[in-house]
Amino acid sequence: MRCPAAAEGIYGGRLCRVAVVGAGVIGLSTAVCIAESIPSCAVTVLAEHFTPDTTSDVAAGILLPHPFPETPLHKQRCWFKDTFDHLLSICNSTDAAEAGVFLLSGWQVFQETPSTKDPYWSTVVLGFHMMTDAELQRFPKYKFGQSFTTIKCECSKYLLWLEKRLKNAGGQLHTEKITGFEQLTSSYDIIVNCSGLGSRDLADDQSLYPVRGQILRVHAPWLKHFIRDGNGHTYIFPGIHSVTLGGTRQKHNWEMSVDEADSSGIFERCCELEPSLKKSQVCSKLVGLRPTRNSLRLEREFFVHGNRQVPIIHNYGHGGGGISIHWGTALEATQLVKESINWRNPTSKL
Amino acid sequence: MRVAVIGAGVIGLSSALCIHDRYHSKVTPLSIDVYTDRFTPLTTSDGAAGLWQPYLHDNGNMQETKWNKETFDYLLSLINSPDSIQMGIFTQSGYSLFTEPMPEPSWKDIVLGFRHLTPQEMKICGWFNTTLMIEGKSYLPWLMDRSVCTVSSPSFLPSCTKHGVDVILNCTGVRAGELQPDPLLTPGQGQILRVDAPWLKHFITTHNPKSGKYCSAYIIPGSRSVTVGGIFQAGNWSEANNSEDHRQIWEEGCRLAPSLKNARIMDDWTGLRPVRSSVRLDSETLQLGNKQCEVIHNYGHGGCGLTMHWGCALEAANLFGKILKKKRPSHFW
Repeated sequence: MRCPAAAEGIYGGRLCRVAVVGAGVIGLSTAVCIAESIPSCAVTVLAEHFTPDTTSDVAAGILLPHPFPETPLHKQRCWFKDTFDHLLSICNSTDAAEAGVFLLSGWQVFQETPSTKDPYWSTVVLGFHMMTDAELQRFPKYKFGQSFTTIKCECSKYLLWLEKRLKNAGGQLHTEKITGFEQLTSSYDIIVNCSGLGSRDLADDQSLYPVRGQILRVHAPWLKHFIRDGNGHTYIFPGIHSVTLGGTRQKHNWEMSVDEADSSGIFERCCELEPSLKKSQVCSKLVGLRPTRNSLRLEREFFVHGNRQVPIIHNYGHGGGGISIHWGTALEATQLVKESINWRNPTSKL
Repeated sequence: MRVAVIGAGVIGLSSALCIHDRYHSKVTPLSIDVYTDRFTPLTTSDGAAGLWQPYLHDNGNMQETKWNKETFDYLLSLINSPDSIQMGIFTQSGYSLFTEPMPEPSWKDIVLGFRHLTPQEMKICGWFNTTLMIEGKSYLPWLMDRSVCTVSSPSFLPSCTKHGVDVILNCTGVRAGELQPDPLLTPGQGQILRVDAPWLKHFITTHNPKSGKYCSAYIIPGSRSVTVGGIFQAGNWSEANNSEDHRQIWEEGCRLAPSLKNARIMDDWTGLRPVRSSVRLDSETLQLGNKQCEVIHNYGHGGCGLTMHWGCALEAANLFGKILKKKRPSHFW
């Protein structure tokens, strides 16, 4: 493989070795983005957990942005749009079934009319409009609603498909728990940190905290629409083989085991929204911890270890919106990696 | 009063139920017997995908528009009821696509959330709306359970007329011509593929004004499988699956939804839509042997049987009521 001149200069003719820490949707999509767009990089994903054991695997995967109070709105919209457009082209391709990506229409309903009737993402999703009175009649406790078509990205399939894409682009995957960046500085030139909640320890970031989400997966193949209560606490997201019912949003709760009181609460609230669910069978109950932060951390810092200074691109803190913005943040992280390849290590002899 | 219903598709069973519900307390005894050689899951109604969608144009037939609306409203009223899933009723949204702009359909205010497609959604013209599914394979068994009818084969019918059937409900669909010739009735043969593609959550119907309804590809996800079709052959009585039709359906379906390409095809099925220029829903008095018999005809629903069945059942019950008044004018109805 021919290396660009800059890479030859810095890395002595070899490829730039990139370590991506984390194999959830953020880690894998970032790794794929780097491997496919920067030929001079050799990408290795290192993680303790791979699909089906990541937080992303628990998520329903509906493209609906999660608010970051301290991230500028135009950035959030850009990440969401990049992700939506990327997935939309997969939806319309022969890869859709293998990638687990498909269109899903439905309703977001509010008991009280929200202050923002027309959120920034309304022009990104398809066919967004206010629900008509006739449409709202099926939800007697709700006063206002939005109807639109979005995308569902099922990580149990998507992550496997991304792993395949990564290998096709020459990338590698290793099961290894990284407890400190110093483990990587001698073997890698650039580190990309996509460790989600793990960054609390790995990047010593105490501003990161879990928001515990429990879900039920039920068998209800007649359900073809999503229904979400605008307050975010109750939602029904039909998937390929099961319907995800949720949920909970328990801040600072690290508990990974299933709570039966949460399960009954979720089931009851979802049956109120969609009575036919009373006939559904529960297949599984799962818990995931959303890696939450007031703003997404997407930036470069330099990690010093001995006589090496290694650029680290942080890409974590996506909270409940990881899948919704994953490709957009992967693109931005990849750009930071490109810029870092041209950065010269001040301690090098060159 | 003895009623004989001939045909156990959606039309026969729903008409029987409607008449029973409205009149069993007023006419005692009211016995309703269904005669058929095919019942669920082998009727035309069972093979149909079950999408509520009338033809694009009324053709000036306001009665059929009314029956369509009555059916939709009736099914929608049941959507949150405990029986809805057993009945095979659920909502589904999707796309109607055209090669050129079409005038809006009469049913645009009947369905939910009707709108034109945005430029982002499709590169051609079309509509999006939420409608209802009514799956014959669930609905017909539910109707059979609910009815107090007995179902037997048509060979019993001659003996029944001998013993005094008062009213016959002719719901024989495409084979109505065997009971009474009807040059306006013809089969609209159609083959479909049933595919395992559970990631598809929208119906897609395409319409080519030149080739007519059902001649253009459609994809309709159901609760158990996805129906892919697009064949309509007027006058073809064959119920055999055909490999050329299979190939055409599959190619056009994959063009419409590329994700289908790697889906598993479960099976093929061919049915005969009972096509007629308009639905025959009327009554007449016939001489059968030495007896006079009232006959209510309810057939010729084409590809819209499930879509308009309940409105037609209500009208059949109205016609039944008129017959009762004629026979027992002294009764207070």
